[in-house]
Parts: sequence; C-alpha cells; structure tokens
Amino acid sequence: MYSLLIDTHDTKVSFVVFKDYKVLDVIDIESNMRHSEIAMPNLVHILDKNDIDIGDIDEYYVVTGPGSFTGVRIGVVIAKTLAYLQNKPIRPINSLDLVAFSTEKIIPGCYLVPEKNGFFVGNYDENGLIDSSLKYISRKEYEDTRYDTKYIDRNIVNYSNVIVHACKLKPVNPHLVNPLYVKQIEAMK
Amino acid sequence: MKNTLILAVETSCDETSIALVRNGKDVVAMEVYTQMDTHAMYGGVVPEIASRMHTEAITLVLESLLQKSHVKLDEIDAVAVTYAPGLLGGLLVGVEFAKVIAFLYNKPLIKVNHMMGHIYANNIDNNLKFPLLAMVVSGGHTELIEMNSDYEYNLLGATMDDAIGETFDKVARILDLPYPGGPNLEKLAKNGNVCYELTKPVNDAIIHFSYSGLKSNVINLVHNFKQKGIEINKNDLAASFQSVAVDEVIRKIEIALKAKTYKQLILAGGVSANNYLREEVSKLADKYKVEFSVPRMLYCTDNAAMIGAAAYPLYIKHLNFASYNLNAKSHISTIE
Repeated sequence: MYSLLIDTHDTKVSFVVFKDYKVLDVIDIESNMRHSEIAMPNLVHILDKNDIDIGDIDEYYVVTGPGSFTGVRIGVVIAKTLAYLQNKPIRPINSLDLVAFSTEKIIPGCYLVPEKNGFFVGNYDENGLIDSSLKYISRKEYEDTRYDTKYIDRNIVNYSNVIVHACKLKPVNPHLVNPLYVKQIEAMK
Repeated sequence: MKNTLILAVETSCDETSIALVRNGKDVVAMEVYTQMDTHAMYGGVVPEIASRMHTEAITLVLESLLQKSHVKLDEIDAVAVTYAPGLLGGLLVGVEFAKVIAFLYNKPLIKVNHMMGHIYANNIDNNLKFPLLAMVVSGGHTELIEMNSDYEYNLLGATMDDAIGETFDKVARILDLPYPGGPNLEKLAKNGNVCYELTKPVNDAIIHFSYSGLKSNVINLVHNFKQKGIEINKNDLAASFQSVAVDEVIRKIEIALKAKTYKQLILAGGVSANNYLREEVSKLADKYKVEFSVPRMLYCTDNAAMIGAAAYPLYIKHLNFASYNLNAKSHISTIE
C-alpha cells in the first residue's frame, strides 16, 4: 500500500512516498519560490524513480499551511485534484502538525512556526491540535506573552512518525481540502 | 477528419472557468464560476481573494462540467490552460490543476495566451478570416494585431502607458461608481451628452495608443470643478470620456485599414463588451467594407471556451505544448 505526502507550504517542495506506512523515498527541494516549476516534475520523478504508477497511490496527505499563501496553494491544488479524480482518500495536515507529529508520541504543549513578521502557534495535547487554538501572533505579541514553545525547527520533521499520527486523522472530501491561511490579509480586515 | 476534444481551463482573473471544446468551435459544455459579487465588496478585484476562491472552486467546477456534459476525462485529446497574462496567483491555480489532469490522463498540456483566447473567441460562432485585423481591448491590453493565418501575426500598435480598460475603471472610480467600473461608466454615458472638452491622447502620425493623459485630464477636471464648487454632470463627463477613449481606438484602427486590405476586423477582450465601442468599430468596418466580428457577450468576458478555441490550432500545429515545469506569467504581450 502506497501513500503520498505533498508539502509546498514554505520555501521547499517536498514529496514523500510511503510503502505500508514506512518511508520509501523523499524529495525535498529548495525551490526559491518557483514551486510551480518544481512541483509537478518532481512528483513525476519520485514516482518514476520508484517504479510506481500514480494509480498505485492509495491515499494522499497534503500540508495545507499555514505558510506561504501562494506556495501552499500549489500543493493543495495538486493534491486535491489527484485525490478527487482518482477517488482516493486525502487527509490535510497543517504545518504545525508536521513538527508535533514528528515524535513517536505527541508531546503536549504550544507549537510554533515562524513567519515573516510573527508566528503561527497552536496548542497540542497528546491527541493532536486542540480545536481552534491555531492562530497568528505578531512578534511583539509573542515577546509580550512569553509563549512556552516547543520545537520550532522544521529540520526535525520525521516523516516516519508523521505518517503514524496523520493516518489516524479523518479523510476529508477533496473538494473541501483548502489552504489554512490563519493570517488575515489587509483587504479583509 | 478526426474530432479533437480539448478541456480548457481559465483562471486568470475573477472567473473560474472550465470548458470542453470540440475542434475549436463546438462548445460541448462550459462552466463559469464568477467571483464578481465578492470583489464588488472591495471595490475591485483583490488578487489574494481571487486566488483563494479559484482554489476552493476548481474541482467543483470540473465536477459540474463533467456531470453536465457526460464526457469522461479519458475521452479528451488535450488539456489547454491560460498561463498568461493575468493575476499570477489565479493563473497558478489553473496551471497546476491542468498539469495534474494532463499527467493523470497522459494528454498533452497546451499553454494558451489569454489575449489570443479573446481573439479566438470570434472563431466559436463565426470563422476567423485571414488576413485579419484584431483590436484587443481589456483591463491590461490595448493592442492592434494583424494575423495572416493561425498564430502568424504582427503587432501593429500597443498602448504606451495605461490600457483602455484600466482607464475606464479608474475614471469610474473618480466618478465614485461601484465595481465593475467600466460597465457602470457605460451606463452613465448612455444618458449623457459629450460636452466636456477632453484632449485627444496622441497624434495620428503613430499607430500606438496612450491613455494616461486622458485619465489625468479627467482627474484634473474633476478636482478643478470641485475646488470651484461647480457641480459635475457625471453622465456628461462619462459620455465625454468614453467618446475620446473610443475615438483613440477608432482612429488607430482606421490608419491600419487605410494601409492594407483585410478580410475581417475583430474586436476582442473584456472591453469589447462595451456597446458604444462595438457600434463605432462596426461603423468603421462598414466604411471600409470589411467584415466586423465580435463574440457574443458570453464569450467576450473571461471564459474557458475561448481558451479551447485558441488551443485547437496550437494542437493541430503542435505549438505551445508545455512540460510540467510550466510557470504562469502575469505580464506578456498578446503575441508572445
């Protein structure tokens, strides 16, 4: 059984292929914000390299953000279109999950992902993100509140553990898989 | 001849549209999901919101198209997508979506210039007749193009500053008209008289266009009148502006018509929905005894059928076949 994880939420484009929930191959490319040029060719590449047909992928995972608005849309559009057209289950995971799911057991606490002028933060218990705790805070707000945060380094992402937690999430109708922006844009304020 | 069925995708501005077009002419089915009401709340298209709405809508629009048409995606011969020009974030949604379909069904991916789509919209109900002269008018373009056959063209003239549609929208804003500015300005102009004196943009020695001077002219006039406490008749100012803006187009088309005989004069792009412009260009065509063509309203505004129409000759000629590293571009000329 094959699973595919797609992540384009920051400056990198990542594809992870799992076989029976074990990491089979990873492509992780610094795209310099040229996600559109990098993403699909590398999806094709990782499949070819492992002699897998796209039809062999049984389920999809996609990182829906928060992160780069345009970046995350690339991965989300690719993932939701693949899942919809092939009628395969898809599970969205957020960019904080990536870090929180990287340990064998989720360590409860406040997780944080840095952004240009602030941070995305979310509170986790041993089961995952606590509902509606995901929010954006400015740098100043962060300093004033003295958040007790865990693991902010994206480099510690451990896909072998991520999939174990992520596969327990409920699949979502592909039409409803959309980016998690969290941060409001100026015009909408 | 073999039938060619193209799935076309258009997401360059605020319409998510997908169509199935046979042989570049027969629109088997089309879906257009417009975001206009949302953007109207902000007084204009907000690019980030447009990109978000395209992402939310794209697979739903496809589902609805497939249900309506009873076509299965493995029956298509190619996937065509608008890759430029337009709002980058929106274009990217369509481009990635089209790549996935091309990949899953192992079909060629054809990149289409949005403005060529507007020209080929004339090939849906009518036939393009070469050599033709095409006046492309939109929010981002004011270009006069000569086409000798499919995708063989010369750019005769282009705007040196603002595009005509952009100027319509800006003047509409100055007159406090709601979004979409251009069509609302046209409504006012219908009830107005041309009585405000506005200077003609550029002289007739060159075939290029200019609109920034006309725009400044209107802004200054409105400021002056406000300062002096003189009331502006918005209907009259709209009519006066529209008359000069359209005259700029007419005079330049006439230069080209005098220089060479064409079989067809085409009006294309979003501003071709303007009835006054249509009438004036049509009169000019009559004067020079050249066939006038403008798409029906449905194919004048942004739609995917025109992208399918423009993609067909590309498919036949094996042009613009793109690989999966295709990127979207916000700015290119019509003829690139």
